[in-house]
Amino acid sequence: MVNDKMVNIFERVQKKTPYKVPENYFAHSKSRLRPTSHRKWYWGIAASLVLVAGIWSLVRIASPSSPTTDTTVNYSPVYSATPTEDWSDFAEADLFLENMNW
Amino acid sequence: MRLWPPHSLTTEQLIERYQQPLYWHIRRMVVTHEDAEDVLQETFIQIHTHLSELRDLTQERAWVYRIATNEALQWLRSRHEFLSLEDEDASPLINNLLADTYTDTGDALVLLFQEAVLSLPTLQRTVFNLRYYDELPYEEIAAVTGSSVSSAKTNYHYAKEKISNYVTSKISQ
Repeated sequence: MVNDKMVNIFERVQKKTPYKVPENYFAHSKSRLRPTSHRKWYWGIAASLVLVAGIWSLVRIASPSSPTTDTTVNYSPVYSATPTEDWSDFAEADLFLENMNW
Repeated sequence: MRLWPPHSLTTEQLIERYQQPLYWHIRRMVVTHEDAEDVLQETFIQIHTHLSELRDLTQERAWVYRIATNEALQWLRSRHEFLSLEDEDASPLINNLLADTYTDTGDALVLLFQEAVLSLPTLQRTVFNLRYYDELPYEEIAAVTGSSVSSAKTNYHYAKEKISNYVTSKISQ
């Protein structure tokens, strides 16, 4: 009895479903499916990062005033705003010269 | 013997072969057209990403269906429309079916039949859809759902019985 009912229902439905799709959906849907698009994004981001890094490197090399690349500049303490050397010898020399009465 | 890549199959070929069957499989799982589109898109992204992991081409169909099923289940989980494979509360899905723009409400029996399918626990529903609509052999259904062949057969049998009982009880009301 149960089997009869089952057969009857399944025969009547015949694998139909109430699901519909928009008109011509499958005719156009292939263009909507772009499985490689996300991968293109990754490549785009990677290429941009390489480009930015390249430009940055060029700017660093081309710039002579860059403290990290220019090793020829001598940062002597003479030019320091707050000299740390003892200048007393020079002061004594000045005093000596003044007292010489040229 | 081909060492790398393991085969010459491309994503485009798989899209060509499986776009429609996978759409309908996903649609029967997530119900609404818009959600099915999103899940299908995600499915092909996963297929494309993991294509090199497909070693045995005899398992091609089971492999793509497994990815589609997992994506659909993940989507359902994210929407809290079911909690596990054994969850029985299908009311949100039935509500979605009745509310969707792309649901044909013309045939009352077909609609009622689909309500009965949606009222099944998720594993039974998945097995039923794969066997009844997609006509996959039990071996492939077992591979898709990660269960045994006997479990797939049992689930299909119970699903048919539950659908029949659901429909007859609703008609006799």
